[in-house]
Amino acid sequence: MTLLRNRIDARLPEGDLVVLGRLGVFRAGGGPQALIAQATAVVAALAVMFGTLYYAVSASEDSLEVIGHSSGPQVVATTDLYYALSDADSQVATVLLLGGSGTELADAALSRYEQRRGDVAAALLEAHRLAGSDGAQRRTIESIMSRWGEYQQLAAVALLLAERTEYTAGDPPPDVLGAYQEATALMSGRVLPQAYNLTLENATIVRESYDTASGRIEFGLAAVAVTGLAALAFLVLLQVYLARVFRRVFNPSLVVATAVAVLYLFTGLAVLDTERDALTDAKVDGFDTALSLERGKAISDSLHADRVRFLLDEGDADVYEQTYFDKAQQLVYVEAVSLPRYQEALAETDIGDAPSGLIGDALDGSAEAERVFTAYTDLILADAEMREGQGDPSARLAPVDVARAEYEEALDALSDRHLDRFRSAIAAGEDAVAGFAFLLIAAMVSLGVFTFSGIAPRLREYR
Amino acid sequence: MSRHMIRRALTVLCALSLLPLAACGGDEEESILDKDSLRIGVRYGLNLISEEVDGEFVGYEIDVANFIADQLGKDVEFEPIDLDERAPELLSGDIDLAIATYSITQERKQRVAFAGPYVIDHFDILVREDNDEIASLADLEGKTVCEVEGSNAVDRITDEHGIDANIRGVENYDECMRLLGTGGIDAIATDELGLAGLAIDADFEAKLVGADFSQERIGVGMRPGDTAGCEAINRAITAMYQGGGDGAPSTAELYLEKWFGNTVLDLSQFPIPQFEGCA
Repeated sequence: MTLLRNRIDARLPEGDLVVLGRLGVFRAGGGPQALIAQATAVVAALAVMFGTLYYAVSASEDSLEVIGHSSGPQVVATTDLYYALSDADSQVATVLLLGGSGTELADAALSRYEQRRGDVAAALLEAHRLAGSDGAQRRTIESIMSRWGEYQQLAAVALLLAERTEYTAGDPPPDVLGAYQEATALMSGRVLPQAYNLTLENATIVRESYDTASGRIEFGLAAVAVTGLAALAFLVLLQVYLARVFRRVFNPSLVVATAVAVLYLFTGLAVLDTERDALTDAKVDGFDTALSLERGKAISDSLHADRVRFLLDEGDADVYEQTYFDKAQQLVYVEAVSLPRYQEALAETDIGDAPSGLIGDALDGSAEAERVFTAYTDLILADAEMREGQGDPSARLAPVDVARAEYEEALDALSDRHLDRFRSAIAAGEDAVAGFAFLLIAAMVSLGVFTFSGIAPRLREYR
Repeated sequence: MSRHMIRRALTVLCALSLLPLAACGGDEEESILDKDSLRIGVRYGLNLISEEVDGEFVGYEIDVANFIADQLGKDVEFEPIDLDERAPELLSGDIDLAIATYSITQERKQRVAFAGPYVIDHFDILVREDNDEIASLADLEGKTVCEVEGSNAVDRITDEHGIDANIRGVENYDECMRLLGTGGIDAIATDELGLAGLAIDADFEAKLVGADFSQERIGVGMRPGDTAGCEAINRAITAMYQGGGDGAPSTAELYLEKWFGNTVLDLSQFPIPQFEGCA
């Protein structure tokens, strides 16, 4: 055969060789192996393209699951838990400050404490559910549960002592104060830190998942583009080869295969790009800001508790004023050496000065952000007046409570805005990849079939 | 396939043709997690906390530093530093971490980052045993207090609490102790862990006033921007505070007991630290 070919080669021009080929007398090119090799190259490149696409899409699906349905919501659940715990402690302090039950404010605080106990139970269950199979998180939640039980017993003792002893508001007897100090030390020293650290741990899980997914999507985009273009190049080369060797300009199967490959290359890149945008939107614009605000809420809660403790516990008032100052600066940082200086500096700070801090960083220029900043400034200034004031603690606390209610409402509104954005970005990301994995398999199989059916008639010519 | 998607895909393809250039940029912040060995800045000459004995660093903070490095799977190299060197040495890259009685304040956070805190400490006042004039923070009015540069204890007294005390600036706490012994100063103010170490080593009788005028959250100083490294340290600290099961004490409790069990401190009061949060 080789001998014959060499002899014919020497005598006939290229085009005639092909004509001979068409007549079944002689075939140019490398024979059936070359044809199969080229078709295999096409299918292999397509397989790698679909493989990387699948790899990147499934990474983003996993990440959407973590951010959208386990650790993301756990951040919200654990800050809800923190809020309920911290507010429960504030209410106990308020009842004791006002001299046990009997007055309207004290009774309101007592019933709010009961309500918070229910909230804590619900938040603990939710956090436990979302922890899923994460052993370390479950252990932490169980530890919070048992210490919360201890706290309630200690608080019950303090409340009972206050009920039995008659005293004027703002001047609790040492045994009441002692019982409360034990309870609040447990709350702020053991229970709340664990709840807060749980929030941070889930934020870490979200960040890790996001970093992994973005890395894979970036890799996926590059790899899909390279392998996709390679597959298209192989398809075109195969077409050219068939045209040259067999004088078949148009191979319908391969044209369809090429069209489908182009379609999937573009769809794949577009889907990955959508995923990248949705994840970034969910993580950076939604989650990060919502996390900052949720942490801000938790710190605000303990800020309120520090205020009531400042009034209740004269001996440790200095420490509570300092921790209050530290927390205020953590929320909105303004350079100042002491709380009075901070109050003055904040009063002169404008939202346009872009202060930093957990709340400061979340001020996004929206009307809600404006409201939060105004409400925060009002709260700190109302608190300043309360610290200056003398006499009946309930009268001193009343304007602060009004300012606090407005601040919390404003904070919720801003946080909800970012949580909505977070949820809709997660939904958009999930919609974009819904059923995509199944389509990938179907597309791969059909492209394989089209490619080989494209060369099948030519292969038969070799027989 | 919609026109929008085609445009999206085309944009991606165009962007990708620039990818090799962008990929070479490598402007990522360096993480401590990428290193095999960590240079940790520690205090020196602080009894019970951090001091060099026979060429080896020992003390409470050294145990904490070793625990954290061990959890991260890193080797450790200790670098003795002064209080006012902590931020500059971190920022210049001379040290990777500062585990050096470094309390987290919002002001310091404007320059450096903090993991932890790993312990909650209180500022207190140390006076001679025979001193019965100083029983609270307010009694420092008009008295002479020692200040070591870089410490924020005196700022807390004068700025935050507005107490008009005379300040005597010195190099280190050994000098403070010498002056307290000779009557050159009336009081030393710093964190109670440090004071406990000073008191136990003194050649005269000294006592803690019990003023507890400030809560200090002692953290791990880091270069800003290393979120993953900071989170890894927080996980290590979480592990340090997790009990051994069945009510067995945690590593953190064992360390405190080991170093401060025989001092004036009440160890039952030490809380679990609430983390500052990374980035």
